[in-house]
Amino acid sequence: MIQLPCARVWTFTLTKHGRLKVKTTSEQQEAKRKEREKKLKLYNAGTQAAFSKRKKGEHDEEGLKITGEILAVNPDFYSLWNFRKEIYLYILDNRNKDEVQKMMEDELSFLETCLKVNPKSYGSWNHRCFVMDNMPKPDWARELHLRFVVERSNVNLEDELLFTTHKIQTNFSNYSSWHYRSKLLPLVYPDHSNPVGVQEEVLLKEYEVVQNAIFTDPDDQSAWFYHRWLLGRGYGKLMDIPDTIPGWSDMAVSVTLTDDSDCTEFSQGLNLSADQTETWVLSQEKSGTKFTAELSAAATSTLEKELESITELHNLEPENKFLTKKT
Amino acid sequence: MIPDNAPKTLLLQKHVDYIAAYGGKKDEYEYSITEYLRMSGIYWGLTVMDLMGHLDKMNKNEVLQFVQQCQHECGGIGASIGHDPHLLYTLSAVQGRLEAIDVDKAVEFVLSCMNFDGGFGCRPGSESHSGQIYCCVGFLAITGQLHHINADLLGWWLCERQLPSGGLNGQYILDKLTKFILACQDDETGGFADRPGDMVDPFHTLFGIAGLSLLGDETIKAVNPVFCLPESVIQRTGIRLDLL
Repeated sequence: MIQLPCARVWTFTLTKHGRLKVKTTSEQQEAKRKEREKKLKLYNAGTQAAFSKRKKGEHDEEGLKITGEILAVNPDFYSLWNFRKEIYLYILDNRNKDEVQKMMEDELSFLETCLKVNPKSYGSWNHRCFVMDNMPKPDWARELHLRFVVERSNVNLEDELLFTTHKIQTNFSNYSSWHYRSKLLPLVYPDHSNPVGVQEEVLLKEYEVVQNAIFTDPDDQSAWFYHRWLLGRGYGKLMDIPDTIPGWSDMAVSVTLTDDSDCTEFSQGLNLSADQTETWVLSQEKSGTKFTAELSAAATSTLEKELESITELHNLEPENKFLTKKT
Repeated sequence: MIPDNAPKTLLLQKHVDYIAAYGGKKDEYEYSITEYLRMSGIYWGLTVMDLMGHLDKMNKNEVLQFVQQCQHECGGIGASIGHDPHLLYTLSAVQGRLEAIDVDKAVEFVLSCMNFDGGFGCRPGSESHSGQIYCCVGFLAITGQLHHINADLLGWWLCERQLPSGGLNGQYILDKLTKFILACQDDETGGFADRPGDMVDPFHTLFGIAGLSLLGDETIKAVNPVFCLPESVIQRTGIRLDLL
């Protein structure tokens, strides 16, 4: 798979794009040089001071002041955003709610000035999300230009999940919201026995959520990616055949899975022809044993209904590539 | 729009001089303010000097020492000494030199950035992004760890999420591209910019030179487009080009 490096341009040189080279006289150059020298002295002193405070574990207003001065001119200095976050985490634990609210509101204003310098700075946006997540009273409407205001004394994961639900309902084509959902669900409703790491009843509800998205706009890719993840197909292969086998010819392979806890085994033969790189086989193992991964009756029924609906939709929209794949 | 007075030939020696002098007394402010990406800057500088046949002008021991000092306990590598671990700089360091760092730990860190769609974000928990994916796939290829990737899923992601590159109408496009890249050179200072007339920097200098190499310029060494490293480096390290 060959990719030209242009993808990296986007990632970390945004501040360097589009800076016009301007010719100046030697006097102008000298004046500029003096100015930059002065700026540099302050900048370096600030950086040293910030690193020193962080090393000493000092989480205070002075740290906010120093990091603020540097980040205002250089919001891509990611390590300082991390330090600033550490200071706020300390503040959250040690100040009263009103103080925290005020400080974080100021932080949002500060972030707005940083975003003017570089509107695509990951550091700034990440920090903004952190602030919104942790404010005693986040003003979502102000933040997202939405009509509804969320009054909370603590912003927690469930609220964040609600927030993504709202975002998805407002606009299904919101890749970020689906992504965050995939991270939040295993945290809010964990179930380690499930391949996706999320409780079964929650997953079944998610099928509904994603189905609504799919039927509203079958061409939107975000929901399809999420659907695939729900099915547990986002995870890698169980195992790879070691690549020390020389040459490509037809081969027969026997795979044995062993349960480490009690040494029970399950074996399955597979055939791979010369032009195949991957093969699937339906296991002969009896259902209900530890080597099968089946869907519950509820999940099967939900998916069967889904398949019916998708088939219907496919008949209405035969050009849609996602639907063709699914059926 | 390419200005009439833009350079039309490759000014190789000027670029060598530009990179060799970069980080010296000149432009100190610019250099300091970009400390947050120094590891990548080192990779860009080393690679472009190698491609131009002047790697000897760079200080190998200094570089190795620097990289080692930037690796953290978690395996991740920071942009510079004292800077936090970050995915992009972990890749840049690996592209520089594998033996100097704890590869297993670095792999662990990179894999912790894998997401539900098979892609990678820049930190654990961050959304997938094609730039990040390029870095991570490159990293996993270099370290022989491509089996961790679900190739079908990621391939699907890339096809769906990438903007269409548009049709390539053969030689005509390649000629235009060459002209454009050459026009991005600065004939006074050396180096390449992102477009004609803009300020130059080592990043665009690397990709300008690498681009010209891919387009067939024989005064520049062959570059491997998967890793954006000289082909000779890939061969020398015996990296099995693990392709998905």
